[in-house]
Amino acid sequence: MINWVVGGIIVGLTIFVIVRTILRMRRGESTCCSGCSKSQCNCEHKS
Amino acid sequence: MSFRFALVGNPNCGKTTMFNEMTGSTQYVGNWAGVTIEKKEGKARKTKEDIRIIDLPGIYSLSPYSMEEIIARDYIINEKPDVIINIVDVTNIERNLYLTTQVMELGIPVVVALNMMDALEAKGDKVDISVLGKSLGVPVVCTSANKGHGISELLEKAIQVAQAAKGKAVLSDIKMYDEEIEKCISEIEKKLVSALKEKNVNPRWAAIKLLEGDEKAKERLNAKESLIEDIQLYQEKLEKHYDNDMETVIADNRYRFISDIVSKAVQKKFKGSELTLSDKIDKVVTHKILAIPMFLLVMFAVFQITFGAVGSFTIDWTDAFINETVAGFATTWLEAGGAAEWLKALVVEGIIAGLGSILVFVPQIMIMFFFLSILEDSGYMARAAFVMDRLLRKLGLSGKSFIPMLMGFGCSTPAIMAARTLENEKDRRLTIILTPFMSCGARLPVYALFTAAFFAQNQSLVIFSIYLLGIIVAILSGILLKNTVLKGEAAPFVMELPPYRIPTFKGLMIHMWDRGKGFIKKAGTVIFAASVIIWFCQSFSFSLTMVEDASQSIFGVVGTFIAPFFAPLGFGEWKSAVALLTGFVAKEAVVATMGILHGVGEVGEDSVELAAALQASFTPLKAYAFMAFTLLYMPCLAAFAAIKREMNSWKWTLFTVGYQTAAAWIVSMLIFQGGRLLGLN
Repeated sequence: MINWVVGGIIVGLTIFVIVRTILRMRRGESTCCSGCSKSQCNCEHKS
Repeated sequence: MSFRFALVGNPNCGKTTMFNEMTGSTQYVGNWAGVTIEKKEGKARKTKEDIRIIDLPGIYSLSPYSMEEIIARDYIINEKPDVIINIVDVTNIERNLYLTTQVMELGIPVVVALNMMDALEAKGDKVDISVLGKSLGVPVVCTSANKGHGISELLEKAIQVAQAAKGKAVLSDIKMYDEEIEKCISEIEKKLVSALKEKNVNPRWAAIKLLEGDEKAKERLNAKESLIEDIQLYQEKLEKHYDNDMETVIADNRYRFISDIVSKAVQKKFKGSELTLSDKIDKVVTHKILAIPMFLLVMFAVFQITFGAVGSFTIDWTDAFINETVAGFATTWLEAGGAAEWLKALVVEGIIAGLGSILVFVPQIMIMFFFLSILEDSGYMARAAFVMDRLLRKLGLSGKSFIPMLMGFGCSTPAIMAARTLENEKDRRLTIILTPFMSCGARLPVYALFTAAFFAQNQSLVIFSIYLLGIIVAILSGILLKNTVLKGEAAPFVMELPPYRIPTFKGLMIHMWDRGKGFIKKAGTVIFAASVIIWFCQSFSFSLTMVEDASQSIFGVVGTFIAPFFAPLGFGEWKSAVALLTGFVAKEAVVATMGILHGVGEVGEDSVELAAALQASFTPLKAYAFMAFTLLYMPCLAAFAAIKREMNSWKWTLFTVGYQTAAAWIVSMLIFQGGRLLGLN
């Protein structure tokens, strides 16, 4: 049971992160690399 | 009621600090011009009314000479905010009031915020705000945005002004031009009222702009040809009278008006040509010969503190926490729950090892950005840009490129976007190609890991040399490209040196937290997903069966295939090849991959163990060549997307990443082969 639950959560999260990153890039938003300075990364549009 | 207030002012007059104070945001603030390149919007806090605050890029005038000026002017004219809050740096009042004289003509209610009053008082100067307000014909409020002083009064005053205006145009009765010009303006104004197709602008502003011969305004106003010809007659008459072009005549009149106001309202303690403390410091830090060595020394000191005694204890602490406490807890919990071996391996050797190898460096990176923020907020970094501009211009490069390049030390993505401010297309392309050579924060964990393993005695010196290598390669590439594919004259660059300021603790904390948060956020998202995929690719074969020997895995096969490409550089084994491949997703993934592939993460093992594992396959020379390659090769996916967006061309995007990877290969090969010839290991 634990294998399915934890494994499912990990796989689900991984797919979610990948899809979200691709969608953000397609929209022309930055995926905020480390050291993001917000005002220049378009990140403020998301908050 | 709901209102929109636009913050307008010169670059580096404190608009973003004011915006942050008003809205409670933590937008990036820097002590140099051009930090804000696009407008930002936020909701004012602590007010009953619904107030939207719009922070516009810093501009010197409303003449459309640069992209920032166009953005700001278009916003004001098209969106018509209820009130313009004109922020004036009171320590540089004459120049700042030039924009005020233009803003007053737009017909939109204006409130002037005399900002940086604390700095003015410290100089011993005084301003009579009642005289200033009366002369300008607009309300004036004193503020010190960095200390939060005067913000509530400013908002209250702006609300009062907005309520009084009720969205109608406010026409100033202040006449700042010569009688001759005023007469022409009022005659043109009368003609414009009936003739203008565009009804949404103040006729006086339109009259002045058309008289000045502002081409953008002509387009915007869409005036009839006959009217333009009529105005040209007035223009010619006045130009003949003043024996000068109209734009200069109008500017002269504005400055005369300002000078008259300032002489009545401002009392200066020191008059004459006495050098200020800022001037005295500048004489040393921007000295022709001493400036660059001094800059290098300062940067070296930052690295010394970060990677020396102060920074290294943080690694031991976080390492023990992640690889012992967290990994231990996860193992116990999974074993107690009866988890399968593969799940334990995925969580501990995949996710915790991958994320852990990066997160251990977060405190060290935050320390480095704390010191870099001190240099930036104090105004020293702007001097460094000025000094480097002198050097870059001698090499035929645009000095304006240096600002995006300086930002590239934080993150390449916003730095590439900041290249938008360069008007010259070739200079812009060149800056985009060169900026990723500046070592971004994401590469730091790679250097920290390798220097700890191979250069423990000279860690800061080696990391410093890697940063310098990036600058040198950027300069050499600039010269090469400027004389071949991107031939052309470098555009002139005028740079304003901001005053020296003592950095505020809050500002430093915001900068440091922003950087650290960026790392943690990325570790929790992109690096998490990357770690899962890396673990999967190193545990399973192409037939999707779990393998005991990682060299038989998907990564093992792919890595073995591409490894010969790296053999002349000294790291032609599959694990390094795969780590560099995953580095394209995010540079930190290089370290995460190393952690996972070398089996780090099992309880009891830590990054010190990873360092030992690396020593088995690298020598100091190979490690240095590997760090050089990581520094220079194609940037991460986010930066790649930014390059594509800003270049707006697949040809130039592929050229950029191709050039960077080729440069990385050549430089690393020269380091490794050259080092071997010199007998280094």
